[in-house]
Amino acid sequence: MTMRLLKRSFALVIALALLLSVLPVCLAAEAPVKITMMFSAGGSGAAITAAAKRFTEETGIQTEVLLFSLDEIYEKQILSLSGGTNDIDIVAINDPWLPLLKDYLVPLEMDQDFLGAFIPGMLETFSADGEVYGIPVRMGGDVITYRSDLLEEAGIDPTSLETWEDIYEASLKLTDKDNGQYGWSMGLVEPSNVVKAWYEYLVCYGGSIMNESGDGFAFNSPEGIAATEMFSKFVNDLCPPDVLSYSFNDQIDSMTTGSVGMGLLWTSRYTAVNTQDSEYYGLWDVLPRMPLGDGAPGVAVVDGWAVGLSKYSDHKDEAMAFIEYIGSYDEQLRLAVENSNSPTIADIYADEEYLNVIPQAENMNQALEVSCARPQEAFFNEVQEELALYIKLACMGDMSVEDALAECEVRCIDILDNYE
Amino acid sequence: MMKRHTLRERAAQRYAMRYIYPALLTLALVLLVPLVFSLIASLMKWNLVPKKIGWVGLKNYKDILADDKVWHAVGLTAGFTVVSVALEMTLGFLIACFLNIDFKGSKIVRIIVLLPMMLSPTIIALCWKLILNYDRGALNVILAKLFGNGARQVWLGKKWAFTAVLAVDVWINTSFVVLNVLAGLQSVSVDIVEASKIDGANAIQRMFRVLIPMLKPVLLVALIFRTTFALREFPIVYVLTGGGPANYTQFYALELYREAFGQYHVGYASAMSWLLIIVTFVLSIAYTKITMRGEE
Repeated sequence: MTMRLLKRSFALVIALALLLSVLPVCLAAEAPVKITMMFSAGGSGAAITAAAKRFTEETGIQTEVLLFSLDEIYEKQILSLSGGTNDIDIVAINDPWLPLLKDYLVPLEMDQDFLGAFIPGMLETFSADGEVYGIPVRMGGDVITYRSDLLEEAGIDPTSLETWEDIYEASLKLTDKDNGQYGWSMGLVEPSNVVKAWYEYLVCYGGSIMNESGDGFAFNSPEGIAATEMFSKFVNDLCPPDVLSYSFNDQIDSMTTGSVGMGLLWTSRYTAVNTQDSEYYGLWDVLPRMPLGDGAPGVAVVDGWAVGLSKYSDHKDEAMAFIEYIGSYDEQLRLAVENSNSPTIADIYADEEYLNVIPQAENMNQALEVSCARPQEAFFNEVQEELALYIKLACMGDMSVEDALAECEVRCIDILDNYE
Repeated sequence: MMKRHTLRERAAQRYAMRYIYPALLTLALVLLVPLVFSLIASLMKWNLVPKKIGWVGLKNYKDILADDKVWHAVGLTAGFTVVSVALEMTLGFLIACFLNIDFKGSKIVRIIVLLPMMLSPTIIALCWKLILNYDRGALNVILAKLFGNGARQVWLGKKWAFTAVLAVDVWINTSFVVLNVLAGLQSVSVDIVEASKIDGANAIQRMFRVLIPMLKPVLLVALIFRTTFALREFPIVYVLTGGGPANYTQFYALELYREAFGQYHVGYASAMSWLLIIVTFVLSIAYTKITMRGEE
């Protein structure tokens, strides 16, 4: 009797175990399709999350947006894609990453009318070998943003600010270090941040990182030295003392709390600075041009994000539907109005709805008229790390600008040799 | 009679081992396989970006020894290890001696002292990052209130970053030494201490001639653990400074991480991790030999 009871209990346990092991498979089979993507935390993350939420509401396709810092996204995506895993459907592409990521992306075959709506330069940034690999969804450029009331108090006419030297002098007038007031602010903590900011000075001084043929470096030049010296002066004389560890959020905080009067700000972060929560709302304006370097023209550095399709995705159709959705005119307009996105579609710049919300858009467009992007080379990430290190060493006074750039060039040549 | 007893013992051991083998096998799989894999990887040029893979023998090791960035990181790590371990061992020992005394509320004080060890280093580092923030950090706010704005310091800047990382590490890890030493102190017989008192030993003599020799095994364990952990210090420095400003706190583990997950040089990073394993292993053996020399 006891034996029979034991056998029955054993059979019951086995049956339960089998049921439990099969249950997740059955549940998974019935679970709705979910597409996964990673994106940069902060304003970009908020924009893509808002778009993903609307997409789910309209299509019923589930979305998961994982937010990380820029460097973490790079690290996690490369690990995931180089391992051939299917855990990411939509790939976030920062503009210099395309050469590294394109082998893991599906070329996007989309309607020419759809593609034709984008600003050509932005679309080209995410194209290679005649194929489009990413749809630009959040791009912008660094522009000079200033507190109009402070400039007025200091007797400075913003239209008179033409060169970096003019900007420096103006910011110096706004700086009162003893009372915690600073003239200038930038986000410089990650290597990509510091290089992007420095590159802005470099291009305005007529310099470049790579040479014209793309097989060597050109930053260790008289233009590079002049630009780096000016950059270092800004960091040391005008910025908060801990600016080298400033993230973009720290930069925004410094501007919204009123401790900084001017700054180099990414256009898509403008509304985060000019927010109604700040007592300085409505006082922030944008210079309609980039400052001139040493006789060189003012050039804006444009950069930003696109979305691409992973070739390992198990849900390519759903992921493509999302890419088309977020790249559509309506969604780009919504993101521009509600999430401060700089539009990637040309016609939105003339849209009344957009101009009503961001009247400074006109100045931003003028400032970005002459623009360039960072080099798109597979080795740029490594070069960027070296540049960031030596620029910071020069700013901290550990090396002269000349020595820093010379030593950095040697390192960069080593990196290039390793790639060849 | 003796032989039969041994055979029975062996049979019992064999029986017991049947239950231990699965755990040993699992350990071997999760420990040895990755170790061997990384050893093989360390002998290869293996880059994920751009994809490059090939056998290079000991070249990675030679390159590491000629890499001035690595040597910079080694110097920082060595300095950090020596100072942090010395401070943690000294403070930990003194605090444990104090906590070994029974006084009103001693149990609550013990719990408070041991709290940092129970929290995640990453969370602690994030809290300290807020405390050390230049603009709004509690430390600068207090300093400014007491001594004016000029007293504010850039705690995570060039001048203070290394010290700040060191201080946070000592704050977190001293409690580990306290816990070890306290457990050791409570196992020391009161009779021996009393006997030394009767023999005329003063407090300092009791500490150096009685307590420390008796606590040697416990101190050795704490020393080995703290040294190995300090050598591969990562979460605190990663969160607090990320190795910066520039490379002022770029410790060995951070440099290794940068090679592995910033540049995707898998082979090079594997060789770096093997060198760290070897150094840690050699140091542990050296500590044991030196500390136990007298007993042999």
